[in-house]
Amino acid sequence: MNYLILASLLALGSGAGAEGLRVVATTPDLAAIALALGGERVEVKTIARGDQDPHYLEAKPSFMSLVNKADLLIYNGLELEVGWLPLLVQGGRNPRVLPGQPGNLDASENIPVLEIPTGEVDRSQGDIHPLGNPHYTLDPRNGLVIAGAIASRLRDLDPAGAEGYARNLGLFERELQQLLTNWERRAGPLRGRQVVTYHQNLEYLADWLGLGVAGYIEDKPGVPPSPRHLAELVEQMQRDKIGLVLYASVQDAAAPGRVAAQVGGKAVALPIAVGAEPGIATYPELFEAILARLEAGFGGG
Amino acid sequence: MQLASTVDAYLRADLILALPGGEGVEVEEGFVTTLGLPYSLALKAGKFYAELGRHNLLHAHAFPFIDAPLVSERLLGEEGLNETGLGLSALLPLPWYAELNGQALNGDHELFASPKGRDLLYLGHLKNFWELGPSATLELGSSWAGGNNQEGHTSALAGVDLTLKWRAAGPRTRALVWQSEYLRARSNLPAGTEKQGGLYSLLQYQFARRWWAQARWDLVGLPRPRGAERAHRLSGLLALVPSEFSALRLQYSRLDEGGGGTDQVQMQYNFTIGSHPAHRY
Repeated sequence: MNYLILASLLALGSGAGAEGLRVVATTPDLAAIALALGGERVEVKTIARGDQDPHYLEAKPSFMSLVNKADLLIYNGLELEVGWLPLLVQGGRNPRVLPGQPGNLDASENIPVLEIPTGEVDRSQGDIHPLGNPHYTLDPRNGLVIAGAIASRLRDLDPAGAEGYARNLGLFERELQQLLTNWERRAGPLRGRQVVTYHQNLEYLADWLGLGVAGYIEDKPGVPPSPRHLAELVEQMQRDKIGLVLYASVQDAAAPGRVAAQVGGKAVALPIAVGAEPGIATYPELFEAILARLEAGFGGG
Repeated sequence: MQLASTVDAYLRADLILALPGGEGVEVEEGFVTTLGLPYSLALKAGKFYAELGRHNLLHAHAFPFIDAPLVSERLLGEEGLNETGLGLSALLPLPWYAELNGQALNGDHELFASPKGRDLLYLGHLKNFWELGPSATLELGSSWAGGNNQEGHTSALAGVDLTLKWRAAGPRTRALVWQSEYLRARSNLPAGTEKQGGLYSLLQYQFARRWWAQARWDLVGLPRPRGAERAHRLSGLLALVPSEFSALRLQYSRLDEGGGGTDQVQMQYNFTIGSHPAHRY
């Protein structure tokens, strides 16, 4: 009897009842991984949609309602959400998801972060991230790290589901490992090729596939391109024979298109998050789509 | 100047200092807010802008126009309703976002300047918020405030606010905001009851990545105090916003009051330095 009461109290405390663990993820990539691991035991809600740039999200009160009800809040970290997440956590007034609590998971823990600035950082360099480049979910090897962290947290919050989480983690890791081998083989010929990208959000992808990022459409991170900068970029691309401009499908297509046309190359829009385009509903599907787009881009140029 | 930080796992502190005309430093707001109270409650203590509608919560640099709406200026004064006190707010367990706010403030504001120290100003605000599809939101709020004035009689404020926001999905930066508020004040004085009210309605349209065009209509004198004239004002504003940290704004206003008209042109440059600010929606 006492045991029963204790069990139901625990269930209440963790929020894991008949309706499952309520997980709120700030980005669709993290949500997709959480859903793959949690399966039917969790209910996953996403704050930023795949067709939105998570830098510029607004702290809508409706998001505070999501945070208010969450058992687990998973966020990208590295200041990607710095413009809105603090307000959502404050407005959500949910003690379970405050920093330091088991319900608060910074997915960037244990990620090998790229581009951590050295020396003095200020905003004349644009809207740069002092903790390093936050777009790490675009390297699928990081997906494995993230999945491990999320599965372990789900286990802590909902011990009754531990077996299921472990099984789902195993499936997720096996599938992603196999796909990784396949993707890396397909991308083999691209290794060492030079590209120009719109924003500094493809570094992890480039690092994984061995692409060289020779320049950016943006003057500086978050600063729209000036005509002078674009002219210099075109000159550089012509000199170094770079024909491919990559940009995220959430970014403006005009400048990449103009630059590519001037060098007789191609501008290719990449989906950079789950849900960025129809048909990309899982983390592996994201890389399938990116690979296909890259192959087509290099293939024709 | 704005400093905001979590004190520990339970408290967040905000301090906003102003440097008015280079004469010393003035505390615009300074308060602590709890982060993890049970039952979705939050407690706020210190000096802050009272939760009276939408515009009263804004600092001058965040005003949608260079100046405050006429109704705010005439009813609440240049500084708005900014007092020292305690606030308790709750998220109501409803299917939409509904926040109920109760504040007890030490009102030395003109409307509530009771000579007795223990006379407080009590204020309530209900904020409702809905998402209308993926790109639009609706906020509907109502506020009440009451307390004793300097004559020892009661004064009261009541207001409603309505805000619609739309932002285009995808890479094109287009946004539209329509925000309106009605506010009225009633003061019981020995000579009788004085009533005054007014409203504003404003539109903000982001027509290119760095450009905003805005229009505002102001009306005060609904109702109007004895002997006072009704006043209208129309304002237009063009803003160049190179980044989220700076803005250059040019505003033209025409005020019609008591048969005479006044034209005004204002220009403002706004910038933010320091840590990346989180913006209230």
